[in-house]
Amino acid sequence: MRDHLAIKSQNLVHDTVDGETILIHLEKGNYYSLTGAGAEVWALVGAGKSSEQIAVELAERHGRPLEDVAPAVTTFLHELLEEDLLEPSVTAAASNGTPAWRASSWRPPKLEKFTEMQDFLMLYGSSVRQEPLAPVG
Amino acid sequence: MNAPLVSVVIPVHDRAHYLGPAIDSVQSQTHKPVELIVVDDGSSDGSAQVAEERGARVIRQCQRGVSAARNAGIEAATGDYIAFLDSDDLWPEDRLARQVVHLERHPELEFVLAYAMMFVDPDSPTPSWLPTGWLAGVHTVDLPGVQPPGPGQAGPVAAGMTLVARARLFERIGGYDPSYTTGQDIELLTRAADAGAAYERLPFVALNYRLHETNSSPPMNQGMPDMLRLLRASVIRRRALR
Repeated sequence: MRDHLAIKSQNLVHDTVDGETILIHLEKGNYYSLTGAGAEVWALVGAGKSSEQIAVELAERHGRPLEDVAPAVTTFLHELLEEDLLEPSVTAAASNGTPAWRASSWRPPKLEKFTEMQDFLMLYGSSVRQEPLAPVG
Repeated sequence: MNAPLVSVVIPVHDRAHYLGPAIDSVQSQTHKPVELIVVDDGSSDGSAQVAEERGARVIRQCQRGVSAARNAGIEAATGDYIAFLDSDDLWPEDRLARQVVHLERHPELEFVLAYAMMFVDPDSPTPSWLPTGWLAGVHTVDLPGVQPPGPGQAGPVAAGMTLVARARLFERIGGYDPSYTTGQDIELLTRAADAGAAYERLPFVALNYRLHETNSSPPMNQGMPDMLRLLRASVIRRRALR
């Protein structure tokens, strides 16, 4: 896995509420929930952090040994990549600083995938960017 | 055996010019009997008169939004099945017949869906919100007997507004959630599926979805905050079942 990854720029919408990130893959019609430290990892990827930087950051935040945290982060990022929620970044993204986070006990990042709603969500699926268009009427 | 009664609910707000053709497309359905209920959501343009002139049962309410209007129609419906049509869209004449026959043959199903074709209103300028080339990039499905879309068209696409449901489904799960301003149909469908309602999507075009300047929910902008919210609610429901 490449060290630098970026949040997929098209056909993906996502939001984080109450420490849980929800994502919709608009081409596949799948939706996902990131729990545990998943939302933290997602925010750190969005801030341009590398896999290694994310592991170090989480180990410091949660007071856990890096050797415990790093494999969990690597596995989680690999899952996100496999699900086409992240994409390799050709160059290291400019870091946007470290996102704010709320202190919480360490729970490994977890990806839950829901496919049951594909039939409802595969509506249009055409090159929808993350940024929604301005609402009309 | 008598054919089952289908209640058709059309919510309308100031769309008198589109409502007539929408009602005509219901009244020309090959399936009969149909109970047509138009819920006038505070229109000031004579929409209710258009409906009354065509013999529809009209329910008037102060403007409370499309979900509240659909719910008023559900409340008033007396049919075995309930279907919904937006006031600016059109149905092919065999739409109800195909979906109702399938539900009659499959009592285990609580609702059926189908597909929609989108078309740019030929009598109006191309909507200003429609990006150039967007129609050509729409994810479409090959359906037997359906011609590829022509100029100004796109589809077939899966669409929530192709719903035909047994009336009892709404007794079980409730109606549309008025707190959503977009994606109301998808919210209802996710709630139905989470409640274990069995359904099928039938491979035919049941709806002609008109694209025009004043669409309340342009299809490329399906209210993503609402979509994320309704999916999170679905996640929570599904976790509770585990």
